Amino acid sequence: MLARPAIDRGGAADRLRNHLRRRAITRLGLIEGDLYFLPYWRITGPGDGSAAYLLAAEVGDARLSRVHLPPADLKPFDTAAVPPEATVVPASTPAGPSSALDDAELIHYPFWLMRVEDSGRIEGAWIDGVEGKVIHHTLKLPAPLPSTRTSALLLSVPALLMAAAAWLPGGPIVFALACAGIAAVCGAVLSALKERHGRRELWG
Amino acid sequence: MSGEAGTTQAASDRLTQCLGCNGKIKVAAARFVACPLCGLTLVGAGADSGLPPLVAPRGGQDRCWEALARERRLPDREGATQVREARLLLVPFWLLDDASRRSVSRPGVVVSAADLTPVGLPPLAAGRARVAGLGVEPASRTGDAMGRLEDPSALDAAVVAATLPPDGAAAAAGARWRLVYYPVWSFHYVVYNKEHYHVVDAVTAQPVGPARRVRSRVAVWAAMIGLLGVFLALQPLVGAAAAVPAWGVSLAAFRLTLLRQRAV
Repeated sequence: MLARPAIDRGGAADRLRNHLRRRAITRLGLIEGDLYFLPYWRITGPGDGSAAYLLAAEVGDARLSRVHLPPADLKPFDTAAVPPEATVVPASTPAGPSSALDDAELIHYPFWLMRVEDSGRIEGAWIDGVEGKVIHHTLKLPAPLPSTRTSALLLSVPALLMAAAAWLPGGPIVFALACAGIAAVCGAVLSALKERHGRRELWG
Repeated sequence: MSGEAGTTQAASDRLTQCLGCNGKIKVAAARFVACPLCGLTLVGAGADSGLPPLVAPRGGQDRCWEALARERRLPDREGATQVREARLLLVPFWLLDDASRRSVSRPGVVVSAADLTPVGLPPLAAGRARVAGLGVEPASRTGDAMGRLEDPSALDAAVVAATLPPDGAAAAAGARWRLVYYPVWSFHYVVYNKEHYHVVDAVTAQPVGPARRVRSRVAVWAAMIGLLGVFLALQPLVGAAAAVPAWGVSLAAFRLTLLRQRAV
């Protein structure tokens, strides 16, 4: 069976952006994505008819192996119904013991794999292609790189101090030593500031 | 009895091709097998056209976790950091096998056959030939570099499905894309109740891509050295006005160093 995707790439990007905004992750750069049809074994329970979904292939992300999938418009699997830009992941793992195979049904479910670029760093997220509610991401709130303006202001301090040192009395050796001292002190202060700031990026 | 066992063993063996040495081989139908010709470990499941080789993992889970904790400066006080899950993944890559350009010293062309960005492994592609910390290219350049496992059946790893074609890049005449599997440790851990997913190279034990931290200190000192060098060089010529070009150079050095470190 094939679950038909209900949201396109733009819709998936919007849902991801809103999801991240609610978590105070607002500095998002370019968002792009690819559509995958992931194979799931749907095993229906004997009693109330509740279904469990088991991923039928290894895609490297354990969060996708057991999920509660939103209800979808299911059609018999037909390669013509698969969007040309989508990737169909074939099933490669069995549903479980042979007794469970009789009740298991293979469903290819759409998932968008979104990639977000932030200051050159790429991070990713899975988002279901039916309702956009199942979202698994690694996106964190990174300590933003200082803007060009902030960087310029920070670095103008040692530059101005060096310019002032040009009027110091004394020979060229005294002048060079003064400039080196300014660079060392300013470098140490800026390093300490940036290291403190960088911890936010490491631990989220 | 031994004859019956031999018949059963022969029935479970299969004739196939080693995609590492291109030799025709007869191996057992197991998840991981050793090529009797070249000795490389092969991924035995799911490939009809041949069995792709894998790079032998050398970094254990503990060593890779320590490397990640050191890189990210994870707090070591009790309860602050908890590992939820650690998985050894065999990630597929396409390796361009070009007999006319094969070289031990020249880097080869490797692109990803699966996208694991959500767990912290950005894909290699034509426009992104390197991910910091990921040593797949040098490790897969030659068979000896790939290493061999003494007991392939003891390997406990998840084989990630190959889902991406070789990036649309056409192989030249006589060249072909070959699948190889590369081991990484995928860690799911929690620091102060915040979840993190990061990947460590299981051969070199180096944190990969987004797992690497930005070293601001390097950027600051690059800026200071640029500032000092340009100012001292130009000051005898233009006096205090040398601070302006020196400031510009330091700004460029600072921004470029930070951006380069971020784009891992």
